[in-house]
Amino acid sequence: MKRLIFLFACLFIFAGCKKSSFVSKFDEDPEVRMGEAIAKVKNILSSAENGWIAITPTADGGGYSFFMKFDAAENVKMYADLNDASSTTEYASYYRVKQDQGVDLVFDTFNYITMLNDPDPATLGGNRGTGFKSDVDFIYDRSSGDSIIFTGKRYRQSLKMVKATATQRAAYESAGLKTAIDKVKSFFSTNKYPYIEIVSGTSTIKAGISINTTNNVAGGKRLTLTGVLADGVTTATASTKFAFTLDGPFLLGTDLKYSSITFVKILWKDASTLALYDSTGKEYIVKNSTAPLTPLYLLLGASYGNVVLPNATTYTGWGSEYISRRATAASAMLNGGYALRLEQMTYTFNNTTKKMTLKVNMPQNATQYVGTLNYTYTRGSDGIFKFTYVDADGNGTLIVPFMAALLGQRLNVNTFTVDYLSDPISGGLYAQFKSIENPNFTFSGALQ
Amino acid sequence: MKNFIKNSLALAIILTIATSCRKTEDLDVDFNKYNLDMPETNTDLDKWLNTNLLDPYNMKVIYRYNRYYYGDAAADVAPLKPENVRPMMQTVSDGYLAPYLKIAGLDFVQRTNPKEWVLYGSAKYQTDGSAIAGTAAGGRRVTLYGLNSFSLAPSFVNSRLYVIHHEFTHILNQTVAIPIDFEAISGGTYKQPWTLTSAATAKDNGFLGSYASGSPTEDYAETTATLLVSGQSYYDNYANTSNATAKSRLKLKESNVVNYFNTAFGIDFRKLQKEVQNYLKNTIKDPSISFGYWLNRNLYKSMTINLDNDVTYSTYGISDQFRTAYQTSKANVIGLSGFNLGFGSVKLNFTSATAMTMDVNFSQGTTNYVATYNFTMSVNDATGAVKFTLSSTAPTGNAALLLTSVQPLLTYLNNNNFIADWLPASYNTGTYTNFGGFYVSGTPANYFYGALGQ
Repeated sequence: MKRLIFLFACLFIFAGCKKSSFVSKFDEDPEVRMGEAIAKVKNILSSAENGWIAITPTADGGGYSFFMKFDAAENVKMYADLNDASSTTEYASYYRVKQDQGVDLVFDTFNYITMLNDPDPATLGGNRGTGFKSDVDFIYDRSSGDSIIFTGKRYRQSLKMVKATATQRAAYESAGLKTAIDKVKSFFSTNKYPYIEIVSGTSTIKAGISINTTNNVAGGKRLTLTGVLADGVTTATASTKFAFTLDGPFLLGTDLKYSSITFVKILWKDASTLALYDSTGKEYIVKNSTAPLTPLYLLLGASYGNVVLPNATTYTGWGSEYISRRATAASAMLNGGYALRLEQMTYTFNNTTKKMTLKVNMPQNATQYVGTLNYTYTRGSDGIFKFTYVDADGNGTLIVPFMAALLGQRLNVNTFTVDYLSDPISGGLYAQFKSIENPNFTFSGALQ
Repeated sequence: MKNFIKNSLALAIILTIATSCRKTEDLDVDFNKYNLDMPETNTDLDKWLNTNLLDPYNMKVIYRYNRYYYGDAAADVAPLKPENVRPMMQTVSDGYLAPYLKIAGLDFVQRTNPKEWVLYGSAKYQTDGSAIAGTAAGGRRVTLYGLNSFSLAPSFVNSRLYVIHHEFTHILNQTVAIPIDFEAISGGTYKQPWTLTSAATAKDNGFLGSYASGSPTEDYAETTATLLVSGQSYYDNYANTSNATAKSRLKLKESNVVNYFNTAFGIDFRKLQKEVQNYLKNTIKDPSISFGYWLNRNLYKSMTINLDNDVTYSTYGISDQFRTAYQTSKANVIGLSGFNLGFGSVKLNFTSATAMTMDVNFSQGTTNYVATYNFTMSVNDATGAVKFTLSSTAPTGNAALLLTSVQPLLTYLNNNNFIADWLPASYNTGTYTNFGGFYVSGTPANYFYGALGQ
């Protein structure tokens, strides 16, 4: 054993002593090869005479698209689908390609793409400190043919660029992106309740489509499918990020899985028809329903969390009995010794815990107070709600006796159905509750 | 076993030494092929930066984004709009470089001026929710954030110059250390993280804000920047509204800074202060540093005018119109038949933001008397316009006795529309707020001024 150790020690020492001139595994030194890679990426970017169509998701927000033209003098000009201005006005800034952990494309002065990174909420509405969680530095990944792909240095989101054709370039440079965006927006504002039909087993189910074209970090630039599965009661929802291109919304990733189908594309089938396509290429024409597809009771506490009743004495969907009882409650609060005014009421549902919270705005002079009342509820398979009062916070306890006409005598003891209500004037979508025992006791509020 | 280890160790050492002696060829690295990250453009902006900042002061402005200059992996900082570079650096040049060049000289600026100025578009947000507007490092780099919102509005320029003077103080402190007696002034009350110290607590302990209460270095930079940019009036008002201990601490810190600039760098801090204030007053038109603004907040309680016994008037002069009104009134008082009076001085008392009384101090033999005349006063913050209106109530006592004699002064004050300003304009023998005055609107050559009291 000792000898063995000695032998190995000697071997290691001698092996360690062996010197030879360094011979690179590669042809060139690292800095030379990196220099070549930098030159290559820069050349690819700046040699595309009609520019690039670039698409990236953001880590916290939705997806975004750009039309970029690079030149050899480190200038980049771009359009983007952030808003009307960015889709119609070309903005110029600098870029450079440098060595980082790989080849790094930096958008090193302000432009549309850096607005996604901007930590100041005033710039585009991103979160304070982190914006939409997008990058300024993009590390080169690979390129082939007409495409080049980068990965965000910090947030690891891919930035995929495809060479634009002369026709596409001409379209971008004549506000074509805004036209394309407006066409999609117009389709979804004309077709209020769009849906697709999916064959699931022996039945055909419908999945409603909603599209959020805002820059809201949490919900913007997303397309969502919502509906009831084949069993008739289970709701399903699937959502994915998208960016606008000249061809319409471009879906990012493979998140849009609904009823075990993965949707990968949405395209204009003809001038006025949109269609979704799944991963096998199957087409699903987007149709329009005259009314919302999914019964509201299934979505309350899931897709919709809140029903907000405004500070008003009458309102669309408020029955005569509700109006008079609300007036009674308001009067009791005002004259109950605290001079409280009954204002906005928010019903918040949680379908998982089956809890409902009623928040009542109850200002005294100029000071806003909020009373919180806690309920549990049951929801029958027929969509009938029964609320059970649990408790309330200090403010809530104070107003419970004042609001007896609304709560103790109605909400706490009656059973309710709920349905959509469309405001004939604003077109806004409301939820309306109807008491089964007292048909004139109905109230409604905005769905959020 | 021991021997074995000993032997093999010895062998190993010998072998190592032997092989260590072996030399191979020279290290052959060609740095020309190294991929330096030095973006170069030659736009009008770059030429302007080179001509105005790089060539004369060796001041390199880095405005193209490089995440390693802010160096915080946990922060997102947005790149800058290039069109904001030149106006921002012009502001730096006018509000920071020019005052130092004039008072401290080219040699001082070339020696101490930070060599790298890194500019970013957004603020650098911290995980605790605060946002950083600027940093200084190693005596050679200043980093400024949040410049995408650049404007020449007084609030923006004031806040950025504040950051620059704050950071430059750090640079100076990194060159010549803070006097050791400074830390003892608020000794024992420095505490981190500063965000947990309320502004009120900081003020009670003699700090200019929560941030200053974090550490002596920040305290020092805040004291300097406040005196230079926010102005002496702001500083005095802050001190006056603190408790007695805090006020004395603030005053000690002020004199510490003034001495530091003088002994460490041979800079007259008071002249430097006036230069920065003049830029803000004349170019940026910042109303919050003006005499009128602070008169309107009743910081200054009095103005003493004694044309014949104050050397300031012989040094800096006084307008003929006021001299005539003053000297005629004086002669009238002395010549008042049958009283044999002596004339002392005139004092304006700003008793509130809307009232002023004029005291005429006179004497008979060895007894001093005062004749008091009441005026109402109105001050416009934005323009500095001031109007005095003599009370219509007939004066009594001493004031009635001298009414006719001092009528030229009363008429001068009552009949003119004034603009409040730091006068005399060329005053440079002390703090610029020692004297303040008024000139007739539209006729700057017709003015008067006096020593201010708080």
